[in-house]
Amino acid sequence: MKLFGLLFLLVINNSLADAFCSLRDPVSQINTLYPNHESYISFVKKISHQTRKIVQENLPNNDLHFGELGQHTLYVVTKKQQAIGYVHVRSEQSDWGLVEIVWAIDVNFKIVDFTFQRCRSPEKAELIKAEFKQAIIGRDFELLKLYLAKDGISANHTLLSQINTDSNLVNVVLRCALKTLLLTQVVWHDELKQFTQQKP
Amino acid sequence: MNRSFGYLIFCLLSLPGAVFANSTDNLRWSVDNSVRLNINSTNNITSRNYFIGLDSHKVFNDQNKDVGYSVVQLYYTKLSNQIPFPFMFGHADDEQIIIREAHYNFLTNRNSLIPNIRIGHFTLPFGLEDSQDTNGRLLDYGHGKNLGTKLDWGLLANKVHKHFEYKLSYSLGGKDDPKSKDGSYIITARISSLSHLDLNFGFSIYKAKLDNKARERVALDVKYHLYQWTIKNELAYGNTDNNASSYWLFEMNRLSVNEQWKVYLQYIFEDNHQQMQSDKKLVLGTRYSPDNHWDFSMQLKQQFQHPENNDELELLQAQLRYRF
Repeated sequence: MKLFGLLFLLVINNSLADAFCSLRDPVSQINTLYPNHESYISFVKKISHQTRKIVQENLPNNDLHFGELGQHTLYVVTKKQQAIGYVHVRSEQSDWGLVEIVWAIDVNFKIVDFTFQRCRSPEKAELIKAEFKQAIIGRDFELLKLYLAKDGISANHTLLSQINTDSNLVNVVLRCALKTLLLTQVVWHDELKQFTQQKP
Repeated sequence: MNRSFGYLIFCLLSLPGAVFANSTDNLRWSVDNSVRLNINSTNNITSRNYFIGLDSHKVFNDQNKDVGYSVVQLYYTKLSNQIPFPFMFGHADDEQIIIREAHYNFLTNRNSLIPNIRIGHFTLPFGLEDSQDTNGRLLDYGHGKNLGTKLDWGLLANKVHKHFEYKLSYSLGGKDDPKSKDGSYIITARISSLSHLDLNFGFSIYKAKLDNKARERVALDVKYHLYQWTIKNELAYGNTDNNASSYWLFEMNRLSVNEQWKVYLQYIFEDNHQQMQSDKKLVLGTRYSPDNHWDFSMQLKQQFQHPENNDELELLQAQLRYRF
């Protein structure tokens, strides 16, 4: 029992609601987003309540779902021993439960592509069409933020005028993209320094 | 207890990279505490189980790529009036250190056909349990009962390809003991569509000599998500010492929009040709997770047809879990 007493003293707040044996790398999604990559390197970091405050400050009226706290992985995708981009999976609350999106980001922190890992919304098909992807691909945090309406949580006319849907899922994906770009730069800043210096 | 610690130390020291890698990089760990209450109305026995565990996951990488990851789960488990008690325990009030998952997964190049290789103590890749981990929950897919054991020590080849994924394992049949007993072995395999898709289906096979019995199973499983609803099916057929047996599990569950609540209903059918009458059960359960730490679950298992010589099972279970 002394062992467990010691563990209680040493423990740090890095929990995950489910047992760690249920963790799965998004292997097939990385293959889809970066078909020519050779390998990837994982960096596990903690999303803390402090990080949550940073999200609330930079994206007013936004929050992180409780499941988004704890430790998360950023994948640095490589080819010929050079980083060609990053992959990060984030969840966002929707009308149909959590939507999990796998984001591909380049070394300049711009959106390259995305794919749904889990989305139970019937409107999913509209958002994987080229016109929506074209509207957000190539944009960094500041450029993507220009798509936010004054309420801070929904898409404005500039984005909606480029696509054929005004479904709530557009707002969900936009918020998820913004949080992903923000968190990637804030939380993994130190780990990604070496790769941003490699950029072409 | 000392033997368990010995296996764990052996396992950790055997891991390539574990000795040299920075021990805290890419490390997840959590203390997992739970208490479970079981009220069995059939025999008027109320029992309790207490679990305090260390759950850890660590990714190992070199300069250019991930080379592997480990999972180690070590649980102090205390029984109180547990009748019947699991095979790892000596009596109804026993306490043990139990190793759940404890393995290292060597990762190979993504472009290679060479599979990743897992070595250690792992959940057998078979049926619904393979894509839906139930570790530490009341929810269960009958893995242990159907296969004779849920986990075993051995080797497991695995790979995720563009349109499918597979696992193939050879293990020793010692269950919690890393050795073969009286020639025991287990071969298990599952091939499936990609597990993150809304529609996931798998085909599993199992052949074993376990507890001095020859066992064979084949199974088909399907999982389908639609809005907040999920439907799961597992149909298994096989034999134990040439006695044919079949198993069917159907589950329907619903998650709340914020995913704090889950409600599920299972129908379980088991038939053994040695018995005149098959076994039919309903399980109604719920799970409430207000945050990343707390988890409360409750389920009622009601048998409504049972084999002769068995009493009708009525079991109410409740579990409070806290991970930090």
